[in-house]
Order: sequence, then C-alpha cells, then structure tokens
Amino acid sequence: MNMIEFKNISKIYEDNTVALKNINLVIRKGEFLFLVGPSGSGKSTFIKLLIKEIDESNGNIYIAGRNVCNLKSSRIPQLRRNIGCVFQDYKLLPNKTVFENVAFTLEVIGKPAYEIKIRVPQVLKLVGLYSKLNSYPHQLSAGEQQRVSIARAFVNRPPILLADEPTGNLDPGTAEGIMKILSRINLIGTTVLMATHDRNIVNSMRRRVVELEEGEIIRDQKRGVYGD
Amino acid sequence: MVRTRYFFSETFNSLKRNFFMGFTAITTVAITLFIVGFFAIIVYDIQGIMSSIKSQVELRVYLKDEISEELKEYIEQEIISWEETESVEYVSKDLALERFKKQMEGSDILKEIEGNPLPASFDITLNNPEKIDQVELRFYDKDGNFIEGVDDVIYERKVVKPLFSITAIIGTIAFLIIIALLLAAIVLIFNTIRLSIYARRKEIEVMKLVGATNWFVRIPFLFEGFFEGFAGSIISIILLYFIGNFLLIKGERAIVDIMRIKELAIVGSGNVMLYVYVGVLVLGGLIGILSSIIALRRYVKV
Repeated sequence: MNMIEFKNISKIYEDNTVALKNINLVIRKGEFLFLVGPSGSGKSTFIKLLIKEIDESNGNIYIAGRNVCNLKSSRIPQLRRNIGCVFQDYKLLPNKTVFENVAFTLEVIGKPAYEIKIRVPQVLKLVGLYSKLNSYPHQLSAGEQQRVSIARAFVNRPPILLADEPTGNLDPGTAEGIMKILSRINLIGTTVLMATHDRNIVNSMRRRVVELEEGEIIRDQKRGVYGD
Repeated sequence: MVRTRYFFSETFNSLKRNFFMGFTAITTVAITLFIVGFFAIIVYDIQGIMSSIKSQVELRVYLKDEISEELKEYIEQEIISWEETESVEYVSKDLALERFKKQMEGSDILKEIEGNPLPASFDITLNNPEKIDQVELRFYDKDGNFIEGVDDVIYERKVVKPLFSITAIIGTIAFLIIIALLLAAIVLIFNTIRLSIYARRKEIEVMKLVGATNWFVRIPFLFEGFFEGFAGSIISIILLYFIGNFLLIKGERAIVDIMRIKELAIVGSGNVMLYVYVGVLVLGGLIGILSSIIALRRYVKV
C-alpha cells in the first residue's frame, strides 16, 4: 500500500525561489526513509507540504490513497492527527510536565481522561522516560527532551511519523538512542520519514535514502548511504 | 467533559497570567459602560422631562372683546382643522376671571379689579410644539398685524426654544463620548487577547501541529474576552446602582424644582433601570467577544 505519493509536485515560494521541482515519489506503508541533502535543498518544504503548513504550486499529494491537495481547511486538523511530527527544536511547552506535554496531544483532539491515563504512560515507557513523568522540560537533557517530543508525536499512534532533523542538536551517542526509538516505532508498522544531514546515522542504519539537491531528487536508493 | 474543563482552566490560567492587562481591560469596560448607562438614563430622563414640558406648551390666543360670535366660531373651527392642533379650549371672559381669582386667592390684587378686564382666549395645545412658530404666524395677516378679532398671541417662547437645542446638543455630545469610550474598551480587550495569544503562541503552534480544530484553539480566547467584557459590565451595573441612582435622583429633583414640572418619576420607575442594566450586560459581553474575534482573525492563522 502506498502511504505517501508525490505526483509532479513543485513548490515555488512567493519570492520566486523554487524549493521543489517536479517531484515524483512513492513511500510505502511501513517504510523507513531518509531524506538527505544540503540545507536549502527542499527537505523542509517537503515536510511542510505533507502537513499542509504550506500549499504546493503544482501537482498532487496522496496520503493513504487520498488526494490532500484540495483538502478543505476544516479537514486539515484531521489530516494532522494522522501524522506525528518531531522537530529539531522539540517544541515542548515549558510550563507543562513531561506527562502533560504528551497528554496535550490527546486533550487537544478530545480524547477522554481515562484513555489519556492509559496511553501516556505506555508511550513514555516506549521512549524510556517513564521515570521522568513529572519532570519539566528544563530539568531534562537534550536527548530526553527529544524523546518527550517523539512520545508526543506518537501517543496518538499515527500511521505516519515525520522527523525534521531530530538529531540536529544532539551528540552522536544521544542521537543513536533517538534512532533506536524511531526504529522501534517503525517496527510496529509506522511509516517513518526523517529529514537529516547526519551522515553517520544514515550510513549506520542502511535504509532507503532519497537525496534532494536544489529541489530535485538526484538519488533514490534502497539500503543506501549518505553519499559523497 | 474533559473539553469544558479544559476550556475553563485555560481561560482561568490566561486571566491569571495577564492579570494586570485583564484588570485594565475590565476597569475600562466598567467605566465605559457606567458612562454609557449613565448617559442613557440622562438622555431618557431629559426626554421624559422634555415631553412633559412639551405637553405643557400651549399657545394662548387672546380675543378682542368686541369679536362677533360668528368670527369666534370660524376661528375655532379653523384651529381645530390644523394638523398641529392637539386640542383647543375656549376660555370665556367669565371663566378667565374665575380661574384668575382661584389662582390669586387671598391676594390684595383681587380688590383692585373692577368688572372683568380679562380677555377671552383660545388655549391651543400642539401635538408637535416645535412647530409653534408656524402656528403663531397664522394669526398674523400679510402686513404683520393680528388678524381680525385677535388681540394677542402668547406662549413661553423663552423656555421652549433653548430647550430644544440643549437636548440636541447633550444627545450629540453623549453619543460621541460613548462611541469614543466603546472604541477604547474594544482596543483594550483586543490588546489583552493579543497578549495572551502571544503568550500562548508556542502552545497554539503545537495545538495546530497535533491536529486541534480551529475552534478548539479559539474558544479559550473567546471565553477570556467574553469574561473581561462581562466582568466589566457587572462592575458598571453595581456602580450605576449606587452612584447613578443617587446622583440621578438628586439631579432630577433639582430639575423638577427649577422647571416646576409636576409629574415625573423616571429614575423611580424600576423598569428603566432594569433595561439599562440588561443593555449594559449585553453590550459588555458583545464588546468582549467582538474584540477577541478581531484579535483571533489577525493573530491566529490556520
């Protein structure tokens, strides 16, 4: 089953910068894919298009078989509930505890309290932070904060997880821990798409690699490496 | 419900966080609505006073003693036929004297009177006293003299004329002040909402990221704005109840005394105050919601 499909996607920003040029790409359900390339190659645009933070200039995007390009704005929240997002800067709420940060996702989409009480500890065990339930983000290390952010993205069990440079601020050892968690999430059947320019991680994981350069796909390789 | 509790706690937290901004907004709304209510009552009051004065405005047409019965009847018919005429009363010489005696009872002046020096008259009450000039003119011929049989036409010109312009001026000033204050209140609530949106921008970003609906994001801010407007209107009602009532009753007494108007009980009649209270409450809530809607449209893009 095709989880994500880009058909002739182009994105030209208002200032006429061409971010993506005629992208065609199929990502299958349960795949783990690295999106690599230098800064400005179009990785972030790719991710923003998927969560409809921006609109494409041309082409169509299908998610789980559905064309999301002409999605009504009132349907966008529903789309985002099916796509977990992890960012380089974590985007945790500083005045909320670890538990509350993760529970926030569920509260916001209207899950009942009993479900929140079951699901949040579960996902915190998955990322190995069960013991820090009541800590605040500033009491955690960078790696731990990123794990909270993964827990928040995944607590709703979305079929797709997007990670934009999740290891960008982390040292190699910590980054490895994050990758283990993402692999675990992928093993459960989640489609994971990770944008990165962390050479070591890509090389050690040996997953599908799609390389972007100046908005175009220049390489698509199974069990690939970062490249030269 | 998780959601209801969530909205209330978010609203409460936000109010706590922006206490001083919120406090300023609430105070402004309170002062604004107090003045709105106060003016509303005053304008209503003046209208009441005006209409009781207006209803007392009459035109008195003195007739010459030697007027023929026919001419007298003709003039009366003529007056009745005008659309400005509310009612007309013929006061004969005898009746005039009788009334005069009653009015002056116990005064020495009565002893001085021999015979009946008082003229007969038509006392005309107008349905629209602002047309008093027009009506008066009909008793003059084209040379500026009184028409045949009429000796004089009088009314309380000095009181009536300025009163009309004073009401108009007070009404306009009050209206302008109210508009300015309402705008100030809206701007202040708008600012508090803007600040709380700013304070919660990270939360809003995360909310949208994990798929919160637009309404879910907006409702706490709408609650906050509504609360500020509503709290302000409650305070203004309390102020109106104590200060307004007290001042207005005093002021009204003074006016009634000066103008020698008999029947007046505007503030005393509870209905008017009740309408003002309800109006102030509705206005407060509307100001609050309106301001937050404007702020949300500008600062929360989806």
